[in-house]
Amino acid sequence: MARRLLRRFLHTAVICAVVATSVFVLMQFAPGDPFATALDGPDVPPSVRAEWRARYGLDLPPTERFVRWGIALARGQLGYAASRRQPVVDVVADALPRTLLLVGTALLLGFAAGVWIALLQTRHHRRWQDRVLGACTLVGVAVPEFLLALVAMTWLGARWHIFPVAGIGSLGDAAGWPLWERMIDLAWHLALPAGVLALAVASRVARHQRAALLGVMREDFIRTARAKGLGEWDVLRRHALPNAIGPVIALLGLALPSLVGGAVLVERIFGWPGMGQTLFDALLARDYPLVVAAVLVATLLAVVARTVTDAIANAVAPRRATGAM
Amino acid sequence: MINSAVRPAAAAVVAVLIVLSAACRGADTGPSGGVLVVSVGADANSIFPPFGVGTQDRVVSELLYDKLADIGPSLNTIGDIGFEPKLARSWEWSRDSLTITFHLDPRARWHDGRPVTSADVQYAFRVWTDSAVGVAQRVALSSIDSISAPDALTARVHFRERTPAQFYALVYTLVPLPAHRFAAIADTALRDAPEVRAPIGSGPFRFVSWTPRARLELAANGAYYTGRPRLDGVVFVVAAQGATVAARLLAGEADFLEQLAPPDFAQLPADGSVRAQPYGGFDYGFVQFNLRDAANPLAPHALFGERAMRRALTMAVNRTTLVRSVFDTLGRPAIGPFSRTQWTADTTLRGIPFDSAGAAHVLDSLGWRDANGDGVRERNGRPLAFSLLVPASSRVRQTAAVLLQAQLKAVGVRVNIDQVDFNAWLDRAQRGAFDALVGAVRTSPSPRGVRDLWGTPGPGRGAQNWGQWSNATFDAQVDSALAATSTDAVRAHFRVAYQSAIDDAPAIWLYEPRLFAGVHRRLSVRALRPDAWWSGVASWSIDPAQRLPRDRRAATTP
Repeated sequence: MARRLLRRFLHTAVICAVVATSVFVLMQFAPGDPFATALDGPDVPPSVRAEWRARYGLDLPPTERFVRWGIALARGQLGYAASRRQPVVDVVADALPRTLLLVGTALLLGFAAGVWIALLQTRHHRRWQDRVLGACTLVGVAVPEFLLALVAMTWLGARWHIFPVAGIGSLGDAAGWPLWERMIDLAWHLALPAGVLALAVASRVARHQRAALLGVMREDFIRTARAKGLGEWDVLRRHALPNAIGPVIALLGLALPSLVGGAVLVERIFGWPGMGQTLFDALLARDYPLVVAAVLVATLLAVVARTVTDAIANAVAPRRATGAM
Repeated sequence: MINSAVRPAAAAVVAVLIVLSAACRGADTGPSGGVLVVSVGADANSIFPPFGVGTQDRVVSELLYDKLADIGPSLNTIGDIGFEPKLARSWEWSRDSLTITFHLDPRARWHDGRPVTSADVQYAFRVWTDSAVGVAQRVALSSIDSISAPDALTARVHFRERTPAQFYALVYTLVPLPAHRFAAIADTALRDAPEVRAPIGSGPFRFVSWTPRARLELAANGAYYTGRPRLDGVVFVVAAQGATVAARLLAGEADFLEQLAPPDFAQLPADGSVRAQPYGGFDYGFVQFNLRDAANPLAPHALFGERAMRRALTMAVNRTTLVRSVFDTLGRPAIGPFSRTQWTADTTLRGIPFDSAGAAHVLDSLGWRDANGDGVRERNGRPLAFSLLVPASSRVRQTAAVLLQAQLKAVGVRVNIDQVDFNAWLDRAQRGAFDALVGAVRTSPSPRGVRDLWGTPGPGRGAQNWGQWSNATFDAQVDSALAATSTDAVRAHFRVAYQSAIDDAPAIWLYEPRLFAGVHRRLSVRALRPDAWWSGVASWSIDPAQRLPRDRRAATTP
């Protein structure tokens, strides 16, 4: 077990090193610099631009910058986010929990809804319920998140006032509210962005889960369960689902990077200041240390998610006897 | 001799303003309370005045910090006519105009209760001019030699040279800073010091909290020296997506939006809960030609080095149609290298009229003809084609580029639109790596910026003249204008300078947007100043009958 963990850790470290180096090198080829926009004024003399570049080490040759950056990264120092006037660690510490909350909620909601939809479709296989739900999930997969987000923001937020248009909490005296009221307020603000992301997750999960369930339903042990007199719902829930859910859980781990990618636009539309928005702003501002840190965080999230989902998938899958007759 | 010409008039104006402001305060008994929520598309980067560079930085820092004096409604930048007292209750000029003595208002306090003193003005000057701090606007104070402090409430500014705009440059740039709070921090460490993210100011609002990219909250300064603001607080809510910024206002989640975009007008609620309030702006857009070869800056550009070609292309563009397509009625064709809001603007100048037949004739005469019938003119086997650099961040400029492409195609010119992200656009513009670009500028009340934008590149001018246009008449007239001490003389010189720029066509002067702020009906605002809509926020009010739960918070703040 320890060896396996060590191997996974080394594997993760290599991936992070490759990703960070690639991003660093790519960013060197991007035109512009972090101060191009900030110092784009007729009153700004070239000497000030030069001072700013020197202050953040941008006047050094790329190789020297890379060496310095690598040494700092190895020591766990992520650098300084010039576009935010804050250490990168502070920026990440501020934004990451919000993204985890958003993406985590979307994953949980989407997974639960997707499995439930798949169960319904399998129960009513080839009937109108299956076809309607199948069409819905197809739309959910096909429509991009940002479009769903704009529609939800316009109708559920701006027109019908069911949810707030954007933001992470109510204004006014919300800071003095009791904890439970603040939690409800947070959930109210989270509903639209998480709901939009969850819809996409649910659609993908439902399609994969349905296919997996239909495959399992042809197995002998399902026929045995039916022969024992179990109802169709019980067969589905107690026998088919545990055998079909493993691959879908593993799929969630693989889906996380694309979910984080989708969160970039959803966060922007709903004014949710998470890692996606941070990465987007950092890219536009050419804030190199912040871009590398944001990509590293996303990479780590993907690796951790894959590890966790693999473990869960292994744990929930029933072990079948495979010994020789 | 600006001093002798200006001083008596200035003294009279200051006296009248003091009387008027006192009278206004006496009559200023409107409702107080309520929190103004402003929907913005970009967060501030720094709210500490020396480090602010973007508009949102200015908005917040100028609500937190008062200047010595502020520009008046006339937006005059010559002498001190029209300037309104702020932290400085009064000021006087020396006979040679090389010294201005400011008398600080003894009632003025920092938000921590300490008095504002002349040491704070001295400290601010040090921060702005110390190269170790690296303040971007320090060149604006280059004519100031030093600031002395004869006593705690007197700051004496000594200038190296007299210029007509020396007063404007000083008070518009330099903002007194609390020395007791920051002086202990080394200048080199000031930029990254945590204290500058939660600053103590002297203005009508004090800092409360800042959640980056989400919201920034200010509360009324109850001890403000000219009286507490009517509003209890101001909250800026941030959303990077343009549709969300407007939706917040339209849904009633915000009270104010700096600028409504053309699509927002169709969304304005029929019940009149949101109105569009017009105000002047300092923006104009243009297509700038690169007069130098992008690969070899010493050689003229193969197309745009020729004046007749630039004029022909200008003639081929129907700017009225283009502006109508982009802005509907919310814009108008630009006249020249200025905005109509600037006090030096001249709307009687002769532009190059739209005449596609005339443009085709000029191109024919230059030897550019469509010999092979593919719709694109050629000369010596070279097609009449160029790339147009456009920033992806601006939908207005993208649309304008597409329309321009279609209009020039009609006269046999092929335009290849080269769309890149803003940072890359700026990088290529600064390096001169383009044929032509769609640019836009937001000028300041001072016409001085035109020298940097369109003056011949060289010491003290042309820093942003990316197209490398050079015109001796323009340079000389702008220099004369900026040295003139009477407004009539300034206008006369600028008139000649602007006309020479229009005639020489270093750019196609495209559009000038008409600005409309979105204002919720519960909010009562006064006239919005074109260069700073936020300048009167302390006097804005919210109808008590239309208070919302979100207004409760600031009522509990001191």
